[in-house]
Amino acid sequence: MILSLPTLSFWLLIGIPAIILVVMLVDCWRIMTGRKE
Amino acid sequence: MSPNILGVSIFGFYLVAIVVLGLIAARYQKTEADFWVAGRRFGLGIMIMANMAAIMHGGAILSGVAFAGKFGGVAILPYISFVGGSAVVFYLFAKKLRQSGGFTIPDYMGDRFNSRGLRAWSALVVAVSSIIYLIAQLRGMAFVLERLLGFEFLTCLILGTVIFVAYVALGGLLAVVWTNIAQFLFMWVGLLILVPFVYDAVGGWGSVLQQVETVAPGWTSPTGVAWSTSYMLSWYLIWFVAYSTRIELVTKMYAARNHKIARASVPITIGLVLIFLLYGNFYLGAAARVLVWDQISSPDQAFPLLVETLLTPALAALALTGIASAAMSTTDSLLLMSGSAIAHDLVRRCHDEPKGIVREEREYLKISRLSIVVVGVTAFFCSIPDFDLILKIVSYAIAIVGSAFFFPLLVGMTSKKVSREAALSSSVGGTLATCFWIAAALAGASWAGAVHPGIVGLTVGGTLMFAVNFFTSPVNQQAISKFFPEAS
Repeated sequence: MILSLPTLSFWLLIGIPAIILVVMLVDCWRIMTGRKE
Repeated sequence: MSPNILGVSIFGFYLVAIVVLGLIAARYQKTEADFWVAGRRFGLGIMIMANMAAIMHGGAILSGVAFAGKFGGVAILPYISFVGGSAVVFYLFAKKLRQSGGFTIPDYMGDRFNSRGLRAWSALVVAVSSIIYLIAQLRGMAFVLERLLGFEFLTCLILGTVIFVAYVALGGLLAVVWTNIAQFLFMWVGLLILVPFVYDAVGGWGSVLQQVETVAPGWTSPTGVAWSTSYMLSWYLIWFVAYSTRIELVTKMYAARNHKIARASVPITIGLVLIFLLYGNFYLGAAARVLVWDQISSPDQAFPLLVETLLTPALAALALTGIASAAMSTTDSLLLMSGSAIAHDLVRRCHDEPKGIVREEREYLKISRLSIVVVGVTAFFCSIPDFDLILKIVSYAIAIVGSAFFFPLLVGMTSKKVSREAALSSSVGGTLATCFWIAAALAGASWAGAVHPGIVGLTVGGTLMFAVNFFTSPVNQQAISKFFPEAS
């Protein structure tokens, strides 16, 4: 079951994409505030 | 079939609203840049809305629910690929595209590799693939309208096409984005209406997933109910490439006010899209599998039947209007892209400028509008017959676009040492290999079914890119200074 953690389904659907997305959003914040080119 | 008065009223109001938006946007159109990239004035909020509306295909809900219901939720939604592909756009493409000051992907191909041939070839790929997509989208929209309004299919097709062509030809990208925002709000209303009713019928996440596993064992597994691991991996790879070369998204980067806004819009958009799909495809797909699967003859009927089963006629009309709106928000972007490939890339950049022909901006504006009408009329006539073949080709269209642009974009953005010949051979070779494989698969050749045509195209494109580059010289530094300012 996808909601009974931790399963491969969970990590493929939500876990890993969420981590990548958070990294991108942090970089996005740094770009908008001029801390990163 | 008798017209559905409520559906006609709701949709009639909606159509009048978007044509009015088109007319207002038309007043802001003075130059080609106004028409194709809305004068590069978009702020972050508008960019996010425009990106989302372009990505959320009309089929995103109808076929998303159908596919998720049929094959399984995790299998059909490769989130890693969506996020990975958009990370490529965010980290590698967005800034350079916006700074290069072009209008279209063929602009990038022509400018980055200093090649008119590559520009013309890219314009051809964009125009043809967009028209193929457009045919499927127009048909899909006409089907929804048929259900919503109760008119004949052909009447719905004419109605939808005329409205589209009118507001896109009038207002260009500005009209597309304004109407996209209206469509987007409609779509959310349409989907959110369903929430309490679906919840009432199948319960929350845990409950619906338990039920769907009972009726379709394996539905929540990574490979779903029908796929092998190798099929899943190739599906993930294809979507990764498709999202990093998604023309609707990549082209929007040109319309941002500056490169920071262009970049920032990408991760925010993709995060919202994923949340949307989690409900709009995953949850509703599971609910459809549990509630209506044994009453339908084709998976495409899953969402409309779910709506009609759970909602009152009035609310069902609202929900279906929302979904028809989603269909429209992609169709107008496609119309705009194929129109720009003809008017801007082929007529202006490939024909007029090399021959020294000088026209006024107003004349290019007219050519742009005419190209929208020509594309719309072409797609309309191709949508009338029930070409099963076209619908099959559409399912491969992302592979064609991906193999034409993935390596020239990826390698061209990251390395200064790429030759024009390498980019051209990669794009042409990759596309032809994909088309050949698609033709073989459609003809029923058993060997062609073993690998997805996109994988073949990417392998050929990648190999040619590196092999040809080994024997040829990079594009000169002056020509690529727009993309590598530090080198000049």
